[in-house]
Amino acid sequence: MSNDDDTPKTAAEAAGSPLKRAKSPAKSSGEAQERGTSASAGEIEGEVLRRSNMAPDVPATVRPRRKVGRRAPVQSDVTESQEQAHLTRPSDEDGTHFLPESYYGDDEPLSIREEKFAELQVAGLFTLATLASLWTCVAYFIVPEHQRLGQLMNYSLGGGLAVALLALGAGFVLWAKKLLPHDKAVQERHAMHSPEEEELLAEETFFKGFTSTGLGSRKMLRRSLLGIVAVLPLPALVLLKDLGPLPTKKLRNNGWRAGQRLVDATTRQPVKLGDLEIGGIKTVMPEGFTTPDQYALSPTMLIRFGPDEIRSKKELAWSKFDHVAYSKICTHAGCPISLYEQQTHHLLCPCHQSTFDMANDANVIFGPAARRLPQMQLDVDSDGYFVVKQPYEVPVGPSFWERG
Amino acid sequence: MSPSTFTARLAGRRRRAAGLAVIVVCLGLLTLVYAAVAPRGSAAGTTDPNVAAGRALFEKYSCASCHGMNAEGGQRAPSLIGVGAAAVDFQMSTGRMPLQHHGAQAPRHPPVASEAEIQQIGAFVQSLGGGPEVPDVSGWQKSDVAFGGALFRTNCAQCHNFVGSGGALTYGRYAPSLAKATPTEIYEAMVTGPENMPVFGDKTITPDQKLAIINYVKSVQHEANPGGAGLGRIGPVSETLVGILVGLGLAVLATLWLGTRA
Repeated sequence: MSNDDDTPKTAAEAAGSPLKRAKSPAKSSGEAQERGTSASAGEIEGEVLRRSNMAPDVPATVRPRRKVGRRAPVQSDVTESQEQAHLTRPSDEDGTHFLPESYYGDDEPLSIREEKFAELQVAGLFTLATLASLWTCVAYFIVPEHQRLGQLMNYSLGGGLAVALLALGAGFVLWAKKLLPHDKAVQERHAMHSPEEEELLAEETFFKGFTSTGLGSRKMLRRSLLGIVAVLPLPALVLLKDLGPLPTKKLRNNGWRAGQRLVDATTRQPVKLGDLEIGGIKTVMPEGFTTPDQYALSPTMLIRFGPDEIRSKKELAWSKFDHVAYSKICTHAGCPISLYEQQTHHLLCPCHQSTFDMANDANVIFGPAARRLPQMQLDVDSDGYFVVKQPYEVPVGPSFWERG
Repeated sequence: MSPSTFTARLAGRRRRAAGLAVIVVCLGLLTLVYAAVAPRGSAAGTTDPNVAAGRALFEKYSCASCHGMNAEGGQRAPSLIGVGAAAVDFQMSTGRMPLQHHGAQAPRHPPVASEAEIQQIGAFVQSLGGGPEVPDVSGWQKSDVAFGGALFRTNCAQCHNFVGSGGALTYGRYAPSLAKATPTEIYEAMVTGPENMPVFGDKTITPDQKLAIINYVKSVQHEANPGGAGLGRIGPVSETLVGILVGLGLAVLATLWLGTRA
């Protein structure tokens, strides 16, 4: 190859350069491997260009790009002209080489002093990493394990390992930045589309193949194929049945029956008239609650209002001595809600900020909930305990398809 | 003067004296009956020096400008009749009252009045119409902290967060953090229901249960943060946010450093 032939013609040719470099005993230094293949062409380029000072027949477009030569170039068994073929500045004829001229600018070489200092920095970081690793091992044995919930141990082990890995990484980066040679590389690529005759050939092959299947002329074949294509997805649909039995009436049964006493959700003590002060609330459950369904659907808010604070006639009719009972399960996504503000009578759902006006039928005044909270009709039995006069008329909790 | 006229005059005098005596006895009885029937410790009839001093402080700290000269309430502030000394102690020892400026809610401040002054104002407000007294919370350390935790999660955690970090309510109101709450303040807040907090009277949550709740709140207050920073102690939300913003930010910076030329 001549010097004029300065662009690689094929990918194999371009990819050949690192290969050659690897074969070349001249570039046996460990640095070259650190840089990876994308930089390798440039490295060799620098090598070549350094030599080009001694070889006056190198074209004018070739400029020295290597910033510092710490080692004397070693003669390789690859001839100069072979290397130069791939490593000189590519021509700009096809407009694909858009790197600005400044990209090829040279960096200032480091002085011997600066290099020594950089080496010291890297070695220092590696030593720090070593010490931190050793500290981690020692800390495992000497740091008290249970002090402040193990916080001290956390810091010692985690901190030691973090310092070790960070210092090691930082050392590598500094090494690469300051001590390794910085050369630029240009990797060649080919145009992405195939030649026209290949495209035509592919098209022809495709249509020839379609005709030979006979799908166009054999009606029976075609129809039976369409049949199986249409039926094949059905088994997948049928298998969806395994997603579980339909809830049927389960979602409508919320665990409350008429006449049942209301008990405290934590202590399970029945709630008596007078247990709540004005502005007081309590989470109540049906007496004797046990099942998971009851835990999920039964929670109810018992609220005591001040006199004349209930604004809705219907709510007032279902209350008992200013006490009202509403489902605690949000009608939007089923979160339990009892963020009750006793002055504004707002009940806020913490999940999506649905806000209910508890003094006015628990109507939604803000947020994504679509329905008001269901109310339960209250009564007080002869012993003074709260009982259910009429349980929730509608299913509690979020909406579902069959809710109606 | 004939003896007959003398005796007649004497009899007239005796009648007048008897009438006077009846009136005096009746008045005396009325006073006794009033003293027995009238509400004890009424501001008008009291001799407790604390109440008088409290009334003076009530005006000194401008409580009267919003709550009215007789704490009867007004356009800007509720009546204090019947709220009790516990409400006064809670509001003033947490520095929420005297109110610094009007807003959605009064934030916690260092207290303005001294402890003795708060006690005197409390005595004055207590004298107006009773209400919960400043509670005795001694012995909360001996209560069942696990049971307190269960009660806290049922009754308090919905607003105050499961470790008492507080949380947002509607229209700028919020449930405050319990990080600085003292045992007395926690008890007082439950029995008086300050601002929008519901009231948890001693029948809703018994005094023993309240002490258990206090024990739970105090135990989480002093709990260490094993990760180093509590990040508001509101769980995975703030932890994720910090993880993404700080962690990813550092990763980006490190990448930029890696990419720069030496």
